[in-house]
Amino acid sequence: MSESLFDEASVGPDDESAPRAERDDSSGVRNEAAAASTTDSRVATRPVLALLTGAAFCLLGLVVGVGTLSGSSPILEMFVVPTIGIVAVIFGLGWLSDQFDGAGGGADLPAVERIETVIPGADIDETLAAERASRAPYSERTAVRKRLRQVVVAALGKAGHDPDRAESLLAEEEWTEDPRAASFFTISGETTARSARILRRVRARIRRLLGRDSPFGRDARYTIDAAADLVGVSDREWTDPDDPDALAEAVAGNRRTRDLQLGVVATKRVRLVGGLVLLAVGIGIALQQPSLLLAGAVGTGILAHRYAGGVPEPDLHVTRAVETDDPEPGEPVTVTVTVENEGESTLFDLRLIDGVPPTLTVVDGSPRRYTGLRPGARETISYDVAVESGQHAFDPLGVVARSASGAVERALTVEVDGDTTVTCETPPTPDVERPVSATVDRTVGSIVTDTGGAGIEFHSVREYRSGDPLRRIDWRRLANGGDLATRQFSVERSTTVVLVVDTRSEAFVAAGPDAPTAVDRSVHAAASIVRTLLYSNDRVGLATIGPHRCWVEPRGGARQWPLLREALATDEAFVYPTGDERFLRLSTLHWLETRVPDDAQLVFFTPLADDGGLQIARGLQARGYPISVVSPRPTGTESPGRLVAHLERNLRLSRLRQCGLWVADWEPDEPLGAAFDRTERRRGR
Amino acid sequence: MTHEYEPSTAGLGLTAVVGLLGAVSTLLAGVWLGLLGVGLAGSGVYRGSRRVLGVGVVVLFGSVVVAGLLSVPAIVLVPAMVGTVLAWDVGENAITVGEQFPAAADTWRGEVLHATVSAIVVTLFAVGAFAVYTVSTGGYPLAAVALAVVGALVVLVGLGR
Repeated sequence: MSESLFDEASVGPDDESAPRAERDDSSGVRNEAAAASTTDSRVATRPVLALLTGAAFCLLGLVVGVGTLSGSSPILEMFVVPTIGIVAVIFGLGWLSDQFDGAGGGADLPAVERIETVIPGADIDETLAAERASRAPYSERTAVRKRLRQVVVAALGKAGHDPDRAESLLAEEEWTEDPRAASFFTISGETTARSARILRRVRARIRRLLGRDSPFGRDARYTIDAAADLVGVSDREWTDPDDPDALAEAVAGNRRTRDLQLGVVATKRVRLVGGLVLLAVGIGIALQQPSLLLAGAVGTGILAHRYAGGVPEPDLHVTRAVETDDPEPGEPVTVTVTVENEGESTLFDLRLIDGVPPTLTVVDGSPRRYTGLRPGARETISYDVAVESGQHAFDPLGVVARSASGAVERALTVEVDGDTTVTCETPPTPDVERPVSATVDRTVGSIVTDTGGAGIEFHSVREYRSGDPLRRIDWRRLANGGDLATRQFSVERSTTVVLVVDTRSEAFVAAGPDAPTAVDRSVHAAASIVRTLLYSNDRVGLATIGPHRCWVEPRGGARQWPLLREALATDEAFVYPTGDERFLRLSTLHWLETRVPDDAQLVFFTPLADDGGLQIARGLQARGYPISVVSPRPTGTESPGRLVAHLERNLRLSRLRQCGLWVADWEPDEPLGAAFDRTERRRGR
Repeated sequence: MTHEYEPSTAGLGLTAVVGLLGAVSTLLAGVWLGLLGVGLAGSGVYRGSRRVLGVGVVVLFGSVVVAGLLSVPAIVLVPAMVGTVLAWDVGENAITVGEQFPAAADTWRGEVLHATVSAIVVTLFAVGAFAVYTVSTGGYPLAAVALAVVGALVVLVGLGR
């Protein structure tokens, strides 16, 4: 009799081997197919397993019903049964603690409601925050150290030290007076003994266990502080390197439905119930309380439900309608998305999120919906976005479909019929409030107008020739006893100007999570400069440097403005690149060179948030074009990471100025004209 | 998480309802612990903490165990356990909703649907288990029932967590 008991108990292990075999099969598949499809096939066997569970239940019920187990042996009562109970309790506690460890959440839905922005330096803040929480990966710490080293070396170079001297200052820990910052770059494998390194690592771990600051994080902050002093950025918002929690909230997370992690995932949400069931059964057996066994059996409902239903396979038809075709900038536009279940089966758990263009903000309603759909049923989502000028492309609809129990979820994107873009063609308003010719001359005219004659700006003095106008005679010189001389002024000549906008993906950076990107600001600046230039009869063209190439031939006259306006508002070059396109710097520069006329001047718009912008500016200068740089500032000083990006950009700006370029550093919330004035004053000094 | 946690009103309400089902059942057996569990579970959903929700559900479950040890009739224990299990299922779902959806989004339909499906499944199992229980307590030793249930559990464990 007891044999038959154990036979029954061994039903479990026997059956267990079946799913094991399934897993082996699927891991064989893994070698051939992609990992996603493996998960697919593994999860798809769930209905079969549920069937097995049901069979096992029936068998056991039969055993109990027929009563082969009637009668009892004292050994069984005294030892085996309580032991089984205790084992069940232990397993149950294990499952419970599992649940408390993991987050168990589902897919992260992207934050499509907000404008997609990259904030320079946010990655450093993230590393420092991770270092604060546990320990940042070695590669990330090394990357931070390398970047800071480049900043310090460049700053020392700017301060007049040659590279060798700078390196030796770093090696001798003499580049700053702060000991924590000074030693930041010398702690490396070569200079320290192995035992000392192990000791340091142990000490760091203990400090972290005590909730103290990590040495790396603290030294990094002091180094950033010292580097800022070295570069001369004294006016900064982040000032306390001793406070480890003064990190700006890292704006992480993806913002596009394209970034949704596609595929099938099993959630961990039923583990807690499993633990409760084991606990109830264990306690019931150990303490001989049959009603607790019943309670445990109730909980198995959730466990079994998990295996029923399989993986949802949504077959959806999605249409999108944008309310108006030609919206004004800033106007809210209603977007309506209709989702219809075209499949055969009911979708119990659908989490929908529309692919709002990464350049637009949702102002009312929500592009998300949590619902269920019977076959043929449809659901309508509507929300309002505030439209800015330019062309904005929608992403596909993001869908996370869970099984009825929520145990398995599939994330996918669905292409949408109907409107996929919204375009707003209104011209950006000019914000340069300056006399037209002055702006032109100061922005781009310093070279071409280098001919003496009639004009406004003083050029030179030459010997008087008969016929010169009286008002140009230098009377002051004559009064001082000099010869009769004629003052010459710079000749204002109509020029050819090509506005070049940096539209590489690296240029889509912003000073804050909701701030306009540097490309948006460049477009606004370009538009206002275009108008003033055209007004003074200059020929103006437009080009972009980025994965998409946009080119408008330089021309003057009334018909050029609509052309340029349309290009600035609708060209896909000004839309955030989706990542499929590659940017090749040299071939793009060559392409530009073949188009730009030889006598043209260039105005280059770039945030200078990476070295690419610097290289392009230098490349254009090397090709012989007179070039001015307008740089919308995307960096700030609110946190250590952003401060690093700010220092890097400052060093790039001074590098360009050293090369003789006219560079305007255009701050956020500042009229463009004010930035030009500031640049002029700096040059005048 | 890509935005601030905003608790879902529907989820909070549904969790409270099913939790109270469990708590009131154990209250009939004279165990007050369940109410504390419902309070904890509710605050877990409100704050978006699975840990607090889990503690609340475990406390609720504790009240079921205490009631079971007090030998209350099974007809009381079954709805108590149904309420406990659903409190976790509905509450955890409400937390994922709070993580994924802002308050402006319409999540009512999805949450009610999820809670309904879970409630139906658990109730069916409860009724089935109760039927087997009433039949099988007719003189079978505990050991037999225990081993049968453990056998079934082993199958479930074998299926993978």
